[in-house]
Amino acid sequence: MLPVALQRFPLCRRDELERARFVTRWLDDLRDEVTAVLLDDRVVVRSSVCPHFAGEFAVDLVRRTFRCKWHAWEFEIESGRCVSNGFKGCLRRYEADERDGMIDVLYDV
Amino acid sequence: MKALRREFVRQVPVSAAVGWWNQWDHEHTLVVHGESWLDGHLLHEDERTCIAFVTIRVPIFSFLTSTAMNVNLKYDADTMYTINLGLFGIPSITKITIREDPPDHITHHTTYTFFLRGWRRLLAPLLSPMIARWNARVWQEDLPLKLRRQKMLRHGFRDFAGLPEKLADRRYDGPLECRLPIRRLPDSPIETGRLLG
Repeated sequence: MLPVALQRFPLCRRDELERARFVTRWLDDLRDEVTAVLLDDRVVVRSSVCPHFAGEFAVDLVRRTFRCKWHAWEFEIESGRCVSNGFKGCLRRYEADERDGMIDVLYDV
Repeated sequence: MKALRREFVRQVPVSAAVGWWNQWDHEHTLVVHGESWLDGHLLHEDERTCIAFVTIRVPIFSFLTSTAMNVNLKYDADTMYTINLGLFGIPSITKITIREDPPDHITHHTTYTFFLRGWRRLLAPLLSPMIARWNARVWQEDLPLKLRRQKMLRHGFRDFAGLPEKLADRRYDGPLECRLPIRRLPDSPIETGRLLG
């Protein structure tokens, strides 16, 4: 049972993520674009709106980073911290939960 | 002296703030337009002016590169000029107007004027398609940035902060503005001022 304030936002199917290794979606109800990545069989979900100027990320599964297509800012997927410059902010992480083959994003609304 | 003039008018469903941000965010040129913009060094920038050395790959004749002096001037709320001295020493002025009407919808008007003196008049037939190629390419590369930034700003996005923490705050219907100069980190690759020591 989820705490009352946590709401589910369906993201993708588990088998879709396993095939693609990462899935990026704009979630209307969450009002955020999120990217789910399979890291060592764990699902890591982060906001994929670059906090700099709202740029779009390319996903580098080898370096395990998101790289902004607009200004080349690079963020570690695992920690969410910026590794390309002195920016101190961090990418928002969302909790993920699997149910009936679906991966949902959980967020306290 | 011959004046070669080309005009391009386009409409896009974004605010003027997004249009101006795109014009004055110099850092993205080296990434988004990296095929065309090879290098850029800002010498000076304030709320109305930007002076830079830029090196570009010449459209159509891509084996040629050209380093130019660019002076950008925000003339009034709707207008900016770029004064350029570049390839073959040809001076040019680019006038850009951005008018927002209705809200979150702009008409973007670009007029290039190249001033050709002496033998450079012979270049007019070459320059004309080069200008069109340049403009079309840059516009297409910039368009997804403008649309995405507009969408995120309307969801409450703030520069260097991201989308709001609270879901209820991820909606913004107020006025959007673009303050110049565009904020940058101290270690920006555009190297502001370094060439002036």
